[in-house]
Formats: sequence, structure tokens, C-alpha cells
Amino acid sequence: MRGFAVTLIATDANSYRLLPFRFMRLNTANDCDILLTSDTGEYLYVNDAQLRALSYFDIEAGTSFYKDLLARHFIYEPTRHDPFPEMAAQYRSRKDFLFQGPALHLFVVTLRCNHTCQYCQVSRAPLGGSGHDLSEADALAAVDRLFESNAPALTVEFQGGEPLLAFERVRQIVEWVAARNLVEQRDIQFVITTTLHHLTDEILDFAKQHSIQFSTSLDGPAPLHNANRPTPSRDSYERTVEGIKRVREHLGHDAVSALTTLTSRSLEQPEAIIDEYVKQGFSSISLRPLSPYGFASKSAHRLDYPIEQYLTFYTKALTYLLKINQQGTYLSESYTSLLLKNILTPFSSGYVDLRSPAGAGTAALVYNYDGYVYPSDEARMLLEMGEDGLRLGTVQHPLSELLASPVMETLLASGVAEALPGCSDCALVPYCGADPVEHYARQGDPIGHRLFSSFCKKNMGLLKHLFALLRDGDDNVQRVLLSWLNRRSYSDVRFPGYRG
Amino acid sequence: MTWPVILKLDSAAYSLSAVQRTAYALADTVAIQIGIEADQISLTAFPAKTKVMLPQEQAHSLILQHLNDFALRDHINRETAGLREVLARAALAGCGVSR
Repeated sequence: MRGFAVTLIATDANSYRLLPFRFMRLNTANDCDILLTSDTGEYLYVNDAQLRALSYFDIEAGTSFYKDLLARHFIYEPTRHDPFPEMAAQYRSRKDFLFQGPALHLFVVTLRCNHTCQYCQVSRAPLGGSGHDLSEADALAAVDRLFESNAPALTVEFQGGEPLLAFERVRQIVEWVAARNLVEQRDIQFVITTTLHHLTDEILDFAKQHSIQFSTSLDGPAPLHNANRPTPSRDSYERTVEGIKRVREHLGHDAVSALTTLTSRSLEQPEAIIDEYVKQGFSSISLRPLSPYGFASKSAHRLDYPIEQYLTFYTKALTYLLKINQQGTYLSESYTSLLLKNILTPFSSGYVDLRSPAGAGTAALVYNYDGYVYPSDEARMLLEMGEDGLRLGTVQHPLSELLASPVMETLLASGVAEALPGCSDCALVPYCGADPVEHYARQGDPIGHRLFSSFCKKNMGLLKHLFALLRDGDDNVQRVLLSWLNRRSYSDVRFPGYRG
Repeated sequence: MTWPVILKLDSAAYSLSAVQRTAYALADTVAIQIGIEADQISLTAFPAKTKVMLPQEQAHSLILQHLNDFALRDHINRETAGLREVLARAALAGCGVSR
């Protein structure tokens, strides 16, 4: 590494010195129940005696345990090897998102929607409502902001409401971006997040011309989906499934993906939800818990659930997914795949919520229909709960001003997980994030108390479960997890690997 | 034994920081009052609202385990003092979030 030099001095006769690491008890029945992790994301399972021996310089050189500790950068030999250049490269790779500006740009082109979902995270306006669409002038200014980011790969995502109800604005923005990009030469991906109910051949032709991807919501089989997403005609499921079919016919099978929103009634039927995704031919399912935003908060007493209930659901769902994958059906759980990438590779998943420093604003920007700019979709959802404190400014402000706003200062001050109470000692912090917006929404404080944080409970629950699977799962389980990590079929992954 | 759990710790064996971090880490299980008396740190622990059925013996061993773990973390942090900062500074040289 250029310009990097550290003098390592052995202070006593020990053959090794410690490198920074954290540890955590997994509270399972396994003999090696303590998880050690390094800042560079390496991990190892040890027992109490090994942890104490390691910490008090009592590991015998040359043993396999010693070699493991050395190889994974838990210890170093000052007189023999300088591990810091290699570790710095690993660390840099895990935090590479810090070297570029926001890459995800969400355009909220309208709040209008035909659904009346009780849990809706973003609120909505009636179909014919006025004053809820992004103006042409604001849309044009937002495109300027987009190109002020230095990110080489940009994602332009259209959100609502139902963005296809404002398709002419979507079309304008795509055309402006495409025209500007003839000079800018960025790698640009367009995504429309939509129910697919308002698709037309004209929209599909335009999507084909600009390689636009569609992201829709599919909550499970018809009774569940229609109960979660009421429309006057009570046919939300049928129209969405028809939309999926039309997109695939026009643009190819992979041009549409789907997300699941889990209400309390969803938690009773993990297998049915997964079976629906298999039936519709998806290769990925996202089992995300309900967020405490927008109308979801007002309906919380009926639809929300304790995060512990979600974790029970997730465990059941994952067990079922592992089973059907071993039987030859490829269906990955997308959040699990992101966590596996954080655990098993030297790279960051790039997922905004799992970043430290926090990804709100630094990774994503939301251009709201009213011309205000927010650091994340969740931040603008708070607006619909009467909370406008997380505005960065308006689309007329240059990006440099938006990212230097007091809100960004607050988010960054509370967005470095490695420095937060509770997180700073947590062995899972190399794989996790800070998410100050979620903590602000749930606890009224961007730092919050981790012991009472749903974000912390969720990520800790999922990560602990995955670490237990990586240690205790049989070869077939390991093969499925690796197939998700590598996006290859189960039969292509012939041998398990990556054991700690 | 009956609640609360009371512990008197030698401050040479347990730092105030380790005791405070123990109290934070167990906040959903026990509410801990911390006192400082000469060379001793005292802990008075009560069951958290949601854990009123927690047996006192279990709370006692849980608190001790956390105290010992945080004392060990103190030791590891002393042995590795400054290295984290060196690593982060070297790895993140040249990055910025303003653009």
C-alpha cells in the first residue's frame, strides 16, 4: 500500500502479539461456542480455554490453532511478518463504498396509488388526487443531482405511490438521463418499483428500449396477497401475476423481481409464501419484516409483530428454503445472500442498511414528489408520519450542499457502528450496519439503545443463525449457502467450503 | 437468595468501563445501579420489567459472565491499543463522503 508504513515493536519475549478482535458467545451447545471476528471480517470459532490462552499469549507456536490465528489476522509475529498492508487492503475492500458518492437515486414521481394497503410504508394519494406528482422542473433538477455524484454505476429507481400512474414523468426522466449519459458514460440501471397493474404495451416497449427492470411486490398466494393489498376490485394478486407474465414475455424472464412484505398473518405461512415464489418461477425471495413507517405505524397494533416472532418465521422459512434447494429448486433468500457476502467474502454487499458508516445519504438519495431530498426511502416515509426533520434540502440545492447538511452530519455522527454503544464490542459489527434512520423512527434517537433495537435484534438473530449453520450445517446445507453466494445452482457447487 | 443481586467488585480487577458496559449489555434482563466506594465498585441489580421471573442465581451468573467478558475485552483492547486506528487510517486514506 502506497505511503503506508508502521513500525512494529515487540515489547516482550512473546512470539506473537494480538491484533484487534472482538468475541461473542453464540449460546449454542457446541464446544466451540465463542465467535472471534477481526475488523477485516475474518472469523473463527473457539472455546473458553482457547480464548483465554490466545488473549494471554499462551498459544504454542506451530500448532494448527496458532496457524489459523496467524492466517486470519488475529495475531502476528512482529519479528517475522508485517500483516498491516494486507489487512489495510482487506479493510479498504470491505469499505470501498466510501470512495464514491451516492449510487442509488430514487425518484418518487407520484404518491398516487390504486391500493389501500393498511401497512403501506409510504402513504399514498387517491388515484385522481392533485398535487402529488413530481414537477417537470424538480425532475430536471434531480437529474442534475444524480450526475453530480461521482459513482461510476448509478441506479435510477422510480417509486411511488404507483409510478406507472405518472409514466410520462418516468419517460421524461429516463430520456433525460439517457441523453446526458451519452457524455457522462456511466453504467446506469433503471428500475421501476410497481404493482404492474397499469402496464401497457407502450410502457413495455419503452422499458425494452432502455433495459428497464421491474420490481414488484408479491406477498404470497392469492388470499394472503389480496388481504394484504386491497383494491376496489379485490384482484391485486391476479393483476400482479398477469403483469409478471407480460414483463417476462416482452423483456425476458429476469426483467422482473419481487419483494415480500410480511404482515402478522404472513408469519403463519412461510411454506405457502415460498411455494408461491417457486410457482411464479422466481429465483430469489426477500423475506423482510414490516417497517415502522408511514401507514404501517398507524396500523401497527393489527399488523405489526415482535421481531422475535419474525426470527422464528425466518428460521422456519430458511429451513424450508434449504430443503427445496437441495431438491433442485433454486430459490435464494436475498437478505441471507447479502449477509453471506459480508461474512464469506472480503467485499461489502453494498446494501444500504448494512453499511457502516451508514448508507443513508452517502449511498442513496430520494427525490420526493414535492421537490425535497431525503437520505433514504425510510426517511421520506417518516414525512408521512408528520416528521420532516430528516430533509437534506431541495432538489435545487447542489449535491455538495445536500451532503453537507446538518441532517447528514447527525446521521454520520450516529452512523458508524464500530463506534456505537453496544455495537463497538459486538463481534458481528464487521458484517452489520448502523441504520440511524430506523433507530430514529423506532426510538426517537438516531443511536438508540441496541438492546431494545429491532434492527439489532433482527441482524443479530439472523447472523447468529447463519454462523451456527456455517459451523454446524451438513455439507448439503453448506452447498446451498454457497450456491446463493455464487448465484450458481446447487448441483454446480459440488463441495462445501468456507468453513471457519 | 432473593432479589436484588448485589456485587462488590475490586476496582483493580474490573474497570468502571467494564461494569458500565455490562449494565448496558444486560439492560433488557436486569437494571443495574452502579456505585463507587474507595477501591470498590458496587452493583445492585434488579430484574428488568419483562424478566420478573428470572431466577436470581441465573442473573448472578449472567452478570459475572458479562463482567469477566468485558474485563477480558479491556485486556485485549489494551494489548491492541492504537492498531485499529492505524488500520482504518491506512485503509481509508483518500476516501470522502462529500462526493
